[in-house]
Amino acid sequence: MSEATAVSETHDDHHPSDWDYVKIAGILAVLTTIEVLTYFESVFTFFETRWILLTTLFVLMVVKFWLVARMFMHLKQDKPILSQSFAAGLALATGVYLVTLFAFDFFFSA
Amino acid sequence: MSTATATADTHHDHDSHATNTGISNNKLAMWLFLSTECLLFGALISTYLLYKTRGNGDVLPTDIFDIPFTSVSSFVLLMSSLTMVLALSAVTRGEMDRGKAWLLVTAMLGGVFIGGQVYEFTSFYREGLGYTTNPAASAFYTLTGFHGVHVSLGILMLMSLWVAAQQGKLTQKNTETVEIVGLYWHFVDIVWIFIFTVIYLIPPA
Amino acid sequence: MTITEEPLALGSGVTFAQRPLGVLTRPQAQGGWKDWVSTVDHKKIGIMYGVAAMFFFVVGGLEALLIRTQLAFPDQGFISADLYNQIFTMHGVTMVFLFIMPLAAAFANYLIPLQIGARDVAFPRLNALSFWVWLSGAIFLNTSWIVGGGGANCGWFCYSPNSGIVFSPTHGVDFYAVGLLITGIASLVSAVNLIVTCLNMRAPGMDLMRMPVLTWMLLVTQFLLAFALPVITVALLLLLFDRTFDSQFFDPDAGADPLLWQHLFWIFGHPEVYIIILPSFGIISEIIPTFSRKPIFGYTAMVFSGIAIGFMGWGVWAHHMFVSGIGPISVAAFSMATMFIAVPTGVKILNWLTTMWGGKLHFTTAMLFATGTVAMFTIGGLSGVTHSLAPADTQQTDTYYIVAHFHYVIFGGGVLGLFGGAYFWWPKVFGHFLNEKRGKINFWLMLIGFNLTFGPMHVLGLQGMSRRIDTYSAGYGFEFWNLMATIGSYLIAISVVVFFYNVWKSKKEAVDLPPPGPDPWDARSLEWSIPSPTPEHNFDELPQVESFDHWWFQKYDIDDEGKVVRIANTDDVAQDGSATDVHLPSPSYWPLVLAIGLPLIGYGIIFNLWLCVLGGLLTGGAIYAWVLEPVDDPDAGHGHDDHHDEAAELAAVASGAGSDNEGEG
Ligand code: HEM
Ligand SMILES: [Cu+2]
Repeated sequence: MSEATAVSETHDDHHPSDWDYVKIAGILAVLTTIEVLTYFESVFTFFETRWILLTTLFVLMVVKFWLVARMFMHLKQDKPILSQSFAAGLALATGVYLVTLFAFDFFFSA
Repeated sequence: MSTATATADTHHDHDSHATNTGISNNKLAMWLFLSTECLLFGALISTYLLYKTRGNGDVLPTDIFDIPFTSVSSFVLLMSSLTMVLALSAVTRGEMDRGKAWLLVTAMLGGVFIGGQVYEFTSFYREGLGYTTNPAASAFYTLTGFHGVHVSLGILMLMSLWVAAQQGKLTQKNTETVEIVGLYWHFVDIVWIFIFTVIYLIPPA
Repeated sequence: MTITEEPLALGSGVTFAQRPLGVLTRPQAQGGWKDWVSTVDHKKIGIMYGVAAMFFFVVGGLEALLIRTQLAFPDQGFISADLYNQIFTMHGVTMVFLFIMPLAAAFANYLIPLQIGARDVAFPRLNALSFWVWLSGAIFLNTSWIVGGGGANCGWFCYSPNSGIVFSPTHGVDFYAVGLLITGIASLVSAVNLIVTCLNMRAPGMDLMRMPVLTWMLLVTQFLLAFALPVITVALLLLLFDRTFDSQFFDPDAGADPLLWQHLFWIFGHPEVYIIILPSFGIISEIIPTFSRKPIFGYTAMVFSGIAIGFMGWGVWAHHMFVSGIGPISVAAFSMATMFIAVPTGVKILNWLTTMWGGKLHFTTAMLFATGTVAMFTIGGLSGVTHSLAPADTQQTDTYYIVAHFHYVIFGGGVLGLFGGAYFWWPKVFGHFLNEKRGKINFWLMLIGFNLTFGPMHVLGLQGMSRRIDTYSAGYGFEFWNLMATIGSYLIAISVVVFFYNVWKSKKEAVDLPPPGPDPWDARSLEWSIPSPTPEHNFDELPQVESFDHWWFQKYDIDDEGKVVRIANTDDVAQDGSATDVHLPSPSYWPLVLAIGLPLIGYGIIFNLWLCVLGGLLTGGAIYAWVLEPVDDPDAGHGHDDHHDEAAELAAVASGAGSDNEGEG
């Protein structure tokens, strides 16, 4: 099969260096620090506004998730089919469980 | 890859020869498995979210969360992803001693996380939150316990790799084995990234 | 393709323990029972799945006969109400999890590698593991009759709080939960294995869009399994924890919500119905073109409608809960979604009919079963659409109308197709035909019996007879149709006896008959290009696939006027199976040992936690030994490199088994 034989040439082998990994971990550490700071609402009073708090936390979570999956799990360098398969599971899970929680009036009380 | 053909050996690394997708069977299988795990953890997380306020008059997990403590143990787990990826990178370059060291550090960080969980469970129990206290408690312990079992299995696999490397059975040729165990490890970590935010950090409305 | 074409040597030079843990010498036997218990050959595993599935078909069938006998006349009481509950529950569970799913797995195991031109699945040992784990779970589940104080009695969907300790005090439900957890592990492992096989092991030129429709439908099925099983795994664990460790997941008194179970169950449950039906759709998509002597109409539409069904199957689960109080928005949304799912299903039906249209139809037994499948499934699909309308369903739900619906889809659409597949591939698997005359008797008896059994249930349901009642009183107008249904069920039983007789007799007669040759039906896909029965190594030489229906185009061509012309004799282009230098993966005992450990853990959770220790040691030891055992036995003198990695297998096994081990915690 042509795709099979062409593989080793087209394969992208530029993995990040160790130093890159440390930098990513540094970013992750900073993001986590911000996350934890939201806990101290009395210091950072704007986090008392719920939508600001929730948005901040969700954005940070997604970015952390994304960084680990893309960089540490090498989805960035690997074949797209791996990202697709993982995205499929993730999207499916998000979809069915959001709908379930919705059916339980989890988000809006009727 | 423990058994490589002569042709395969001439290839660079990654064992991506001769499959239609260019990805080895093992790696593809691990990724598929991780995709299915999303559905598993999703169900447990939704169960907890649904039940988190159902205390039946008793104490709720959210009442007694120790956020500073959990933040530290979450941070430890997060950093174990760094050491894991450094282990892989060392093995890829054939620096087995360094690789072994990072493997060991990763397993130890995982151990610290588990220790933290044991401490957390014990202190919650002392504060009156037993497994059977109320739906919120059952859901909380089941979710985090499940995650803990995943971490423990990961530690077991890391230690097995370390032992194999120690005996010389794990060499640069087995880079992919390390990579696959690493995938599992990072996955367990990203599940915790989710749990940490959604379960711990978001305060009750 | 380096893997399969080279008569290769073992290259790694790594030495492994030959007898890990010092027990169980690596199996080398050829022939005999040892060959079967240690085999990793996808064909033998497929056959074992088939045999075991048919055994449980008989078990589930006997349970069905008991039900119908009780209901033949009003006010009968030879089965107590409690026993009746156990019997219909175990009937449903047996038929779904221990008959249809493994029978589909039999076809998947045997045929996927052949249809994509591979020598085995991606992970042969994991494949053996799937079978043994499934079998151990199946046996475990049924031992509850003996040691569990009776079977589960909560219905196959086992709603809470009915499934709780208060209303189901015997161990039946525990066996249900643990048994399905174990069989679930098996199906999950096998799903991942077969997906990787389809994606990675195709012969040169076998693009995805050249795979036969059967392989496609089986691939979609494996994806559904892979994503649906984790959901039921969680549901079952929560149930088990409630019952054994007093957790509070489904206890309304403690503030829990029993609807949670219903959601989790049906998020799994509706994809499950497609897991049941899609293999059969695939099978008849092979049979119909072959006996219409035309290519399948709309191959692409066929594939994509299958994928669409797979997707949409995730968005309709709450149509099983229209009367559970899920609220008007949910009801409306799920009702709409359910109606839409009929569209891709309709596309399939249309394509089968169009394939037959204008074809030279040969009504062999296999073809009869295939057309029967299309017809019966259409009826079941239509009654499905009638209860996608929530107001109508409010009348229909929990009546015999529902029983009629799902038997038309599952039996009519699923089982008939699988029987057709058996007649179709029998010569390929066993090297002789099943007798056609007896086959036709088998078919007509089954078709008539089936309609006589389940047709009247539409009427009974609309008349208001509820399902799952152990008897009914005279004078409501239920008598006549119930009697008809019971007579029908005995006709089905006779047809199954005819099938078994046919199996036995045809084998005896085969010695006097000419062998079927590689391609007895003049068919289209790759498995017909190799001898019957399939040689152990499948292909002498991997095919170089150039088009969809590649094998057919080896034999035929289409001339300028669009006419089909024969260009080669089948025997000239078929492989003769004479290759001797093909290296196959070595057999192993460890899958079986691992599989024995799991039910021990199960008994341990239910009866005595010390048994868990024993089971855990067995399982853990087997995993350890498995990892130390090389995929290829160096002593066997040959090794077929099939890309194994012990640690990955360990990871897969450990995490799969892990979901069961949690039970100890
Ligand atoms: C046109 C496609 C289909 C539609 C619109 C449809 C619709 C429905 C609906 C709305 C119900 C719930 C009825 C109730 O409980 O009140 C139902 C039940 C059921 N359906 Fe279908 N269905 C379809 C195809 C299938 C297929 C292909 C299968 C299996 C192979 C299947 C198996 C079942 C089963 C087992 C139940 C009953 C579950 C139970 O309550 O025990 N259906 N169907
Ligand atoms: Cu459904």
